[in-house]
Amino acid sequence: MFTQMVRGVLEGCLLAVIGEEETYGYEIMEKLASSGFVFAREGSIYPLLLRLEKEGTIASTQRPSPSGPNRKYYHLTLKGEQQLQLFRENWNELSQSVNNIMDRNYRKEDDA
Amino acid sequence: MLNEKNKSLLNEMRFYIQSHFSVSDTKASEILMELEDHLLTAQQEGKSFEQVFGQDPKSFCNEIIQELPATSKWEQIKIIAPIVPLLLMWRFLYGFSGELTISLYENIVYLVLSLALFYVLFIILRAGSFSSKRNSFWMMYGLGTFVLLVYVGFFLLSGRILPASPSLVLHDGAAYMTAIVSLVVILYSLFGSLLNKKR
Repeated sequence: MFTQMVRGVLEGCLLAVIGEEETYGYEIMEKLASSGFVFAREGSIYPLLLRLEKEGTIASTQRPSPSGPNRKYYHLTLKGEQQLQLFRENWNELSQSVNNIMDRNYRKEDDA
Repeated sequence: MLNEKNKSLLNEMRFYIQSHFSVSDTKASEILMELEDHLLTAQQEGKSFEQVFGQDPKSFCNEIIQELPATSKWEQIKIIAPIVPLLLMWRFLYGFSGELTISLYENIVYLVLSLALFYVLFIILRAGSFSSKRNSFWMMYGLGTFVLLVYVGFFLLSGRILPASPSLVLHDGAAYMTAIVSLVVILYSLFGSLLNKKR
């Protein structure tokens, strides 16, 4: 259950990062890592990117990169923007509920 | 430039992913290009292959394959179709001897056998991906002997088992012409891409 939850959250964060500006794989990973995501392997974002592209929430264009091979730059599609909006709303609701419960537990422990 | 270790592991990944004929070749090339770009940047920043693709690259590749769109039957045919005339044409080189006999049944069985061998080889090589070099060497040696034995067996037995007719017999000029055309097509298919690159 935990893995599935993390995957769902990661997907939402990928959409958010891509929504900020057009970006490519390595940069996406760096942005996620600098926000605190810890990767067992950096490549884990690629199966997710493939899925999001297949679902039509993100699209890409290829441009030459300074390092040599062409680079794929991702941007959100209209469907992706709607999905991101939905994720934001769901996340706000969920995180608030979870925080409420956690805070209540924490206070009980304090009282005891 | 990727260092030797990264280059060879990435090549293994490339072979493993692209030898799955069921996934779209265009999309597979695209993701491999991305992975190469990522690995190159990571290498420049002093990161290891394992930090990028983990300790088990095979399972990483399986995750990628699972997410790649499936290829259409038409696309699969387009990959296999060019192999068929090539398989036949090298046999037509025999026309340089001045007489060429093309037996229908023998050629059909030969084609089916070759395509089946081709398929089996890919499956075996794919299963052996990411194994150590020593294993790979012995595997290639074993597979080479296996293919050779199958063909030798086929050519020894086909004359006895399969009916010789209907067959097409070409003499002198016609045999030479067929052999020359075949040779040109084979050479072009082998080295044509080099010519195009030079241009």
